[in-house]
Amino acid sequence: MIKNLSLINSEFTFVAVAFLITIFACFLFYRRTLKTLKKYENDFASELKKMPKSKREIVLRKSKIINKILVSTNKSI
Amino acid sequence: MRIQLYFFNSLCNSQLGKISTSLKSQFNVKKRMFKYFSFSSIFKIIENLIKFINSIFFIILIIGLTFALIISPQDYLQGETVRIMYIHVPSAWIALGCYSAIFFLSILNFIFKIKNFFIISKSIAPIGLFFTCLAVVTGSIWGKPTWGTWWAWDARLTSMIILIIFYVSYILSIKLIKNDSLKSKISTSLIVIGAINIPIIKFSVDWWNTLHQPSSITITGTNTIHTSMIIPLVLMLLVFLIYCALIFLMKYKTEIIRIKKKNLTNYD
Repeated sequence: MIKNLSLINSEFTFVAVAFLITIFACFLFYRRTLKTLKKYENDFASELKKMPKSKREIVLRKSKIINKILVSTNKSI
Repeated sequence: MRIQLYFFNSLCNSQLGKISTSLKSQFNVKKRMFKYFSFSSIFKIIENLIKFINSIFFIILIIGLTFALIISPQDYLQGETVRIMYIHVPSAWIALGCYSAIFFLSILNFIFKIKNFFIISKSIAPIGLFFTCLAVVTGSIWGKPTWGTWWAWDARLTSMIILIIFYVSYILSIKLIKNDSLKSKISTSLIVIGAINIPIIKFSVDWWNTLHQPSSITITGTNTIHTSMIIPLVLMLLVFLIYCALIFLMKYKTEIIRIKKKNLTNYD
């Protein structure tokens, strides 16, 4: 019985390692993607802030998507 | 004669009116269609989809993991290690699916020059690479207790390594080449050459004697695994697909912002 139990344990170790690696890798990949997205959003907002006020107003009036990007920058995903 | 002319004129006017109305309606449909596919509309859809996926993902993940680790039975030969199948097989399917999607999008982009297809391909590529690596690593962990070795240079495993090489070359070609036209040509060529590897991966277990087992699930034929194992497999596939969708949407959104940032200087 002890031999069987150790066999189950050794088998389950491989399963646990595979699942843990997968979950950890998925989490890291998600975090890295989110970090890149946030970086681009912040860069975009700061680039827009750097622009002269008159030009910024034109940009905001002409482009709907820029407004949406700015809105999403203030919100967290 | 006058009456005839009057009728002819009124007929022409009514026909022209009908034609112009139909043209106007067609134009309006196209206008609405383009409005729907504009970056602005897509951005709104992406935002909503990301929120929706974030809200349901953990529920589906917990259901999938419960089925894969607790409810599903052991295999009579492999014992507990069969549970690795629930992450290894969906990873491999997604890896091949991503490559096929990139292949078709690259061909369409090459023919019709639609930049959006290139952006989508660019966003899918890292996901494909990630899942190919995951399939190889989990396969290696599964190989140790079942084959007695972490790695063997058999046809299936070697063709998966070749797939990784093609993914890496595609991503590097996009990152390193600055000229847009040259970038599109080289990346499409790489993907087309690499597409030869896809049927090799699929049929390698049938064409050669490999350590890797033949396919247990086929689209047309009968499945050789029990329903109690198919359910967790499908659930874990769903979990991975939702995860892929989330990562893709985030990457696609990043690309849209990058393009818009580049175009900021063009407004006057």
